[in-house]
Amino acid sequence: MEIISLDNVSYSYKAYNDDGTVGECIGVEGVTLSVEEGAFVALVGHNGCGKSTLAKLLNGLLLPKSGTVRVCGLTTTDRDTLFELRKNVGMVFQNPDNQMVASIVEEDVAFGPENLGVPQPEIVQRVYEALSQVGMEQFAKSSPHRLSGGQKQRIAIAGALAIRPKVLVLDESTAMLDPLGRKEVLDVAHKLNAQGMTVVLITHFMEEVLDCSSVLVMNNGHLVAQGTPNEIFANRRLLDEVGLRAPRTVELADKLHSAGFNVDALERSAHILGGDVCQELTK
Amino acid sequence: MLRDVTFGQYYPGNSFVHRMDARIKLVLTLLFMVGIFFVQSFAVFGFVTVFLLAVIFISQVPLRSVLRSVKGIVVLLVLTAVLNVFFAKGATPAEQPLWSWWKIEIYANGLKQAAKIFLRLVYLVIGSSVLTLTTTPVDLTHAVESLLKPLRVIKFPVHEFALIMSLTLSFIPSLIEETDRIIRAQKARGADFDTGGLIKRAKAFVPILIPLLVGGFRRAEELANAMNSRCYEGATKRTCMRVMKLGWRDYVAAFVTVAFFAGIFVLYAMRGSWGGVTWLYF
Amino acid sequence: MSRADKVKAVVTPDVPQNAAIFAQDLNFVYNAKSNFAKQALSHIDLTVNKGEFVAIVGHTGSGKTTFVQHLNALIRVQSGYLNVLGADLSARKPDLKALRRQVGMVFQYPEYQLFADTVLEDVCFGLKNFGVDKDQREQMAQDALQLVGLDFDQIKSKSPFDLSGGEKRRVALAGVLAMKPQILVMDEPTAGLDPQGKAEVLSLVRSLNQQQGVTVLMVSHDMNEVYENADRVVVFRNGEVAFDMPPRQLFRNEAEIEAMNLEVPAMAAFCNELERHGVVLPDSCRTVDEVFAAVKALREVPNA
Repeated sequence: MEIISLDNVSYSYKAYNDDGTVGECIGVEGVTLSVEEGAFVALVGHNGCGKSTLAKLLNGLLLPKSGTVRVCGLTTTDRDTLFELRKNVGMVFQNPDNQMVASIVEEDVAFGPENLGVPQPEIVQRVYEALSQVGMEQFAKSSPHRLSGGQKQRIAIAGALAIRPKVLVLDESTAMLDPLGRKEVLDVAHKLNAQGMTVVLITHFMEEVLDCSSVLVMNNGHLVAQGTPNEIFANRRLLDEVGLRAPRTVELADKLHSAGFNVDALERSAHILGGDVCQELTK
Repeated sequence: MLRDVTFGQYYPGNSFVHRMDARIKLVLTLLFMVGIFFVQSFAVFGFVTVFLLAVIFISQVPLRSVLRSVKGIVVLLVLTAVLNVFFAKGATPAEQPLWSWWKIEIYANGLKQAAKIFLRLVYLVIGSSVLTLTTTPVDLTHAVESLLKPLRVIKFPVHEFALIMSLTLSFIPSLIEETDRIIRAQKARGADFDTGGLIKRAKAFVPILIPLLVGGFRRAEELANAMNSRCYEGATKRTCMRVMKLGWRDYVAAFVTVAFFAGIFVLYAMRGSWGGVTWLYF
Repeated sequence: MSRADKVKAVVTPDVPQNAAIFAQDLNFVYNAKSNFAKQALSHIDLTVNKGEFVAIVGHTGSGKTTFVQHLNALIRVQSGYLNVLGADLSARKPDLKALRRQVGMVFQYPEYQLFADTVLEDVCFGLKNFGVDKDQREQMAQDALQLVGLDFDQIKSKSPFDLSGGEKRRVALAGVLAMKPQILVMDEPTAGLDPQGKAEVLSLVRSLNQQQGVTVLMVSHDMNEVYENADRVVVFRNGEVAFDMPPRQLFRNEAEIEAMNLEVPAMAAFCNELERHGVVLPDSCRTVDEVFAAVKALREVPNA
């Protein structure tokens, strides 16, 4: 079932030209896409390609200049149902420090349900459920700034989960983290996805894209490609064009394959690739 | 560490005082602060001292930590006391100065007044630090929000006020960190904050303030997005996870404190009418 | 303290001729006198030679940031000996201005420190502080902006806050490079950049290192980036130097690297697998292209 659908969506920012006049700067243009319920979709592209603008269009933080954005059957431009729509879209942003509203973890996670007017006993239940989903129950009474980047982002995810959304949008939530923190966040995202959550992962780390069900590639505000990770990685010309690169192992596998080695051009494991190459070299 | 404002100068513990409701603690502290001004005699100051020491003992906060707060206002204390010594006149026109030189006269009454003001200020500071040592800023914020609730009648934005307090608390650590980082970065580019005249030094802070300000706007925007995404729509229909409930401790503490200060108020109101027990009014 | 220790503390160690940075038994404790005392560095012995490209890796709290901040005296030596470009930083009053001009420090997300009205002014900030003449300043700023790949005439009078993220990062880099430092210390210079931005910054740093002989110390979490660029990798763990060796050698210890919760770079994992099968590529092959070329060459001359 389709859960997110964008139909010919465009958005532009106001921009000030050098001579002081006000012009327009394209955020996204003519984007049409659809995401199935339960999917794990990656949205990739270089910095400034419009992927974050697209994320903000998904829950009505930005409203399209033309076209429609629909999530769970609700349109973002409908003022009356915007609140309802936001209940369905949990969003986590880039900088973990800038999305904490309280200085105690459990109170931060409670912010969403408090806004929804959930009765007190249920808030507590939701908060602890959300914290256990991200594996952070033992930090409920801590102050967030003592935690690592990955832990802070898990708290932010819990904060989104506490409003019980159907879609989780991670808007470059891994960009500021170290590899360990990135892994923590991705593991949580995959776990939630396995439980039925639709996940939209916005990133420019191609290693994170490997296990997604589909990849959307953006460039200069346009959606330029869409496919499985393998389909995208196989399209070297496209990756070069949009300034991204496949994981190194895949890059090497592809080169070896083109040079006539008997290896899978999309091999992801360096060890398997190494083994295959040796077989050929030593035979 | 300076960074941890969440706990302010909170001294972690699980004592009777720590476990009291923050609202009651706040109200009783206010009562204490007002009450102290109705203390007239050294004898009654003695009672207050015993009361305060008892509270500190029950709170299990080391006396050293409590007294540390007094250190911050030593200059103010000494200044007020000295001024009082110099400017107070005799209690009656008949009183002779103890010591005089040129236009300066020192009366016994002046010394007494100065000592009392000194004690009042010290007790004010100690009283309020017992509150902050046993209550986290987060709890205080909730207490303030709850106590100000009646002001909603006159359209005072109580919820917004509390939200601003809470956001400030949660942002101070990262702002301090950022300030620190910017200072280091500009120092690495040769910025000098320690030499030169006043104007030069003031100017030296521009490279710190501008990035902080710009960063502040960036943070504010991201925060607004994060809050909106979590369905924030102002105070309407909001609920609160935190339940504040009064327990037996609160009733006991309130009873004792109120009774104590009621006594002090009675003494104050009846001053002069109990000819026999002058020591209470010395 | 025994007598021998006292003597050791007083005698200045011999600094190797070619050393840009020389640390011996460097220790640092945060909040030394309080209950929260934390040993951030313990017994660090480390030498970085002039012209080297050294990567520093380790988790948050491993001491790497504390160490690099010592290098231009943002943190003062508590105990032990530290010499940077001939200046004794354990001395009571080192010449900070001279030192800071020679040791350029690029912090994490350096674009967050931009402040001036124009790009030119911001790039000149350091030069001005170090007393460079006005005419000379502009020339040096121009060189630096060109070095980071920006068009001087087009960008000099723009506000730094109107630029894109990638451009801001480069302007901030130019602000440090303008001083023509001999040592460049960088704390995650590629954090937050997309692959292309990363590649551009790294190729800039490499060319400074190779063509102008600038000594580079780069703190990084990206092991692929470390593997492909550094001559040597220093791993910090709990305030100590756990490993200090060339990248190929370091990442052969897959088990140990993973035990420290660090990633094994893709090309290292590939070469390790080849070595397990008895196929050895030269240690200098570390990028995808280099490894590919080496493998191809092996196939063409199978018994070499």
